[in-house]
Amino acid sequence: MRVRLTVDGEPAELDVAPTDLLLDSLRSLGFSAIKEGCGVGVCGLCSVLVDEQPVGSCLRLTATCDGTAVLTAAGVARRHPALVAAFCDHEAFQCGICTPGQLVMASAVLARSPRPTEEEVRDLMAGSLCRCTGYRTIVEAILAAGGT
Amino acid sequence: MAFARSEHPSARVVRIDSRSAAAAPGVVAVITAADLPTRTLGRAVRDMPLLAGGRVRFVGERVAAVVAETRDQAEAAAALVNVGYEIEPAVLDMEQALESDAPAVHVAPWDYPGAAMREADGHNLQSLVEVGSRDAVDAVLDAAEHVVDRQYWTPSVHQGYLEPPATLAAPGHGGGVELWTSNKAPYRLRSMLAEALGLPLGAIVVHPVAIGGDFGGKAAPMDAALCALLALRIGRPVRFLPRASEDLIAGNPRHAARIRVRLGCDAAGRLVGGGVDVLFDGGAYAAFKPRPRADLHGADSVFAGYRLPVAHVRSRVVYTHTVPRGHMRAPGSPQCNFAFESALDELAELAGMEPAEIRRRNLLTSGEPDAWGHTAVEQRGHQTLEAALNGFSPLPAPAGWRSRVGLSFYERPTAVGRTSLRLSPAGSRVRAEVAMPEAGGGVHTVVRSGLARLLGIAPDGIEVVHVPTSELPHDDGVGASRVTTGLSIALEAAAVVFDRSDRSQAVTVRSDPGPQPIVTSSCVQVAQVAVDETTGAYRVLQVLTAADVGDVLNPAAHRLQLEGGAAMGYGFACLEDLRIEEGRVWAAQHGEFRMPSTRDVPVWRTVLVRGGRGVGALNVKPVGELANVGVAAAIANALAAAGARVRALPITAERVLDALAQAGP
Amino acid sequence: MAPELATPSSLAEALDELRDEEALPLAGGTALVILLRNRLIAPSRLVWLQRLPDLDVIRPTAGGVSVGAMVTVDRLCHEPIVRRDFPALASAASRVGNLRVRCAATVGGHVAHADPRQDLPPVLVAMDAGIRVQGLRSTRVVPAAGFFRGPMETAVEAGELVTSIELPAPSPGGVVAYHRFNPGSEEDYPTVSVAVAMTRDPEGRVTAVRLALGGVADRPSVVADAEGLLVGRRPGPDDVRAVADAAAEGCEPSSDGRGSAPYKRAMAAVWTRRVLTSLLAG
Repeated sequence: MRVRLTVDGEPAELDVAPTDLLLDSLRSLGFSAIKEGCGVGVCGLCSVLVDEQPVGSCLRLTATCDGTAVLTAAGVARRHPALVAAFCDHEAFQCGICTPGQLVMASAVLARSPRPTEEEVRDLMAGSLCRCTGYRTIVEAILAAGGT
Repeated sequence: MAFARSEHPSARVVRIDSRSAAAAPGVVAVITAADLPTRTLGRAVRDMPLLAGGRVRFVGERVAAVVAETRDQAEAAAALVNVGYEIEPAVLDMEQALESDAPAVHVAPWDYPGAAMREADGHNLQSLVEVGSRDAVDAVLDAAEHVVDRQYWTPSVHQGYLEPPATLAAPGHGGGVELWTSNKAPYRLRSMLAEALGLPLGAIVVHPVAIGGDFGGKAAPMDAALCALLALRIGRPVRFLPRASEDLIAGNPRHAARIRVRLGCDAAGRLVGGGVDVLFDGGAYAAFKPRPRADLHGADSVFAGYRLPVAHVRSRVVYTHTVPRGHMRAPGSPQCNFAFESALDELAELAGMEPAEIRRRNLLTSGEPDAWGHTAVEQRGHQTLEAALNGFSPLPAPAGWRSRVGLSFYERPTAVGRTSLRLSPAGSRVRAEVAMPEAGGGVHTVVRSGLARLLGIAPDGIEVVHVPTSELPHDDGVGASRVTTGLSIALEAAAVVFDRSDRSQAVTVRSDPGPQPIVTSSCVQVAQVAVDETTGAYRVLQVLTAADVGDVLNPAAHRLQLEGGAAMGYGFACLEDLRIEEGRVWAAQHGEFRMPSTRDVPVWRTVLVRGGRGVGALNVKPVGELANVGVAAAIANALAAAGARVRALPITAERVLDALAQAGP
Repeated sequence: MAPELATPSSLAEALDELRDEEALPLAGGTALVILLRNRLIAPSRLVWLQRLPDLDVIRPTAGGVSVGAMVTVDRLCHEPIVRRDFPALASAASRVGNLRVRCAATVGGHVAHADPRQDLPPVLVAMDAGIRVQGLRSTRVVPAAGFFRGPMETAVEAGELVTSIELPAPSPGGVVAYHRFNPGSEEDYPTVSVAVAMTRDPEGRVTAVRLALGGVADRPSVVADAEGLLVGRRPGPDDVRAVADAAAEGCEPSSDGRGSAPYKRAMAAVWTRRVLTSLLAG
């Protein structure tokens, strides 16, 4: 079936099987900012925004995304340079594999809670795993971007 | 590429019917062991076939490889491979594996190239290392005022890198092959592939890729070898991207361990002797371990930093019909340190002494030899201990919960690796081509910061590029905490030569530092826990890490290595377990295998104990495998102070409750 | 064969598609997609419910509040009327999965999935919520206690869909509490969870009570004795202990990564006691 959507503001079109995952479809279109991690919705590497909602693209069928606006980490980065700057200033990454997903989820958290407390950040970012950092700098970056 | 994998821990393969698979949509080839040269591979002990031949030895072992146009097609076809098995008795328990009547995982493991054991050494053994004298330890413990003799258990856990170990292999020019693979030791991989494929070194090019976490688990080359072989055979690029759940059950996770510690002291709390006997479960193949004796360094270095007049270590790694184990951040140390530091606290309790005090009485001072008679450049355990204790301040505990504190000590000797690099002028900047991949540990930052200091220029005047293996002679690979130190020596040498030509000519340096004076790094950790005695539930409120350092090239990155290391240690102590039972991994997906989240982790406190003597002109000490080791003992010791001595990881609420019940009112 | 995707635009169309026993309804997909990818299910057709009008409505009814089956778990946490009148349910909803899961998962999909470790079912059972199940020619409201039949097993039959959850209006003097005990990682399913709905008269005597446990059986486990032990009294510690013992006795936990069966049984008693004690004090 044919699916038409926008990705990071640009129109995209592709033929998909009903069980194709949004993760795989987006990567096949060249949007490499989305990573495959755990495959079961736990780790957050595959996070994107679909019509502004945070979505695990490894659990979303592309066929259900017709007519939607998808934002990958690249799109989020362009929209929130202050968030990206906060991640850089606070050294909120090491290997970087989880970083695109962290950015997407951080933007979703700040969209619903613009000046979050640390507890809120940790609560809402709990589905974004990082094996490298121990999380302090990621949390600090998000708090800084939220002005708290 | 996708695999058909064994469903049984131990079986003969009597039939592989790949006709349906071969006829499935998009399939290009179905390969079994019969289609491959009959050689076994490995990093040191070469006991592992690319695909299982006449028998399977663990659940998840690769039996057939399917190559198709898409991953979905390959996986669908792999499900159609029909394998006939004749189930055989399996040995699934480490202790049982040693019994002479246990099923043999390998008929004649001593015959494999690189085998560390001979036939007479014992049944189902991958490795046996013994240092010191058990008799001497027995004698001195018999006469000791206080003695503890305890056993501890640690489970198998996965390195937990979030990027699966992917590989893309493509036929290169003139019969060679090019690889892009998530592997942290590209030159070693190249050597292994050269041997496996019968190609000259130069015909194999391993290209640079960023690596999404390694933690010891991405040196294993097996799937890369198969990709390369198939790419050559089929004449097209072949890619393998394992599913995370596939890698959880059939990667190369940490060795589970049973550790027995016997420790004795005099009436004043001074250690008189100690023996550690550790049994590691190595799984079905020894192939993932790089040391020639197939042992884990953390075992024979368990006493590091302590004065121990009479000592003995016996370390055995056994074969069982389970997933083959590999290296994970300070291999052997998280297991052995948990046991030793717990036992030391248990001894302190017997001797009526505070845990800090027993360490004060037994940590080495500079100039003193260690348990094996070696003297390091210096010993800073005492300073690190005092810094940790002085730096600690308790956090408020939840109402009604009992709050206690525990500590641990770990000392790590420094290895210095071999590497090569090239410096060249690049406009107004200096270009540094390096042979080491970046896996998150900050290797390339070390190069930039170190060179900046050595050349006296700003860091952004340096461009760091990881180049393919065709461009530089050699590198040992990331790991063993040898990166910062090995690089610092190589950078020094390169800077000197570069300066000689006024920085106008490219220079290539191959650094093989050879034996070095023994530089050590001390680490003391203090954990504060709060326990709900009715349920056994507990929270780790904070972990303070005091680290002995030389000069720190990049403070922010350095601190992250300490905190990230402590997070991994916390996961090992409290949450993680692959739950290998009945020969299979039950925690077969993330979520079941629980790694710490933002909500789980304690508060991290860091204290740097400056003034240490490191390696080379940059005066650096390693940090990558320092803070993950002692966390488990610090937490266990804190819980013991609250009345619950738990000797098995992970420390679950149930284990705490059982321990509280055993301790009595 | 890969399944087809049907996108009905009315409930009747959807129910018609679901008459085929090989067809499965698709809502948020957070449970179904995993089952599909692991080849644990092989439906001929996925019937996507997103376009059905009115299934994502939350509206007051004569007896309380009706929550449409396609309302997301995230919306349930935040909807003002749910937070005001059913705070324990909103709180339980905030513990489901992670933020991404909550934004996709629907309440209908959640209850239809019926994993015995989930957060909402024990609360719905304690509240005596009703689950509306519709077929082409039928509509019935199944009391929550009768809806969850076993692991992944519910009262929904072939050709039927959950269309709403009917929340009974809170009674005066009524309060609902939910506690999930997850001693390992915060992200894990609970080892044991306890949901209590209790009504007391102005003198503090219990006039109604329902107690349901999660994670200790293959479905939410109602503590049948609770009513007999508590109704008509101003319960004291001995009464609470008796209920806790009954709770422990009535559960059938299995040993797994979260704890052994004996431990879960012991925790069922501890947390029943704690939740009741806290409710009675508050």
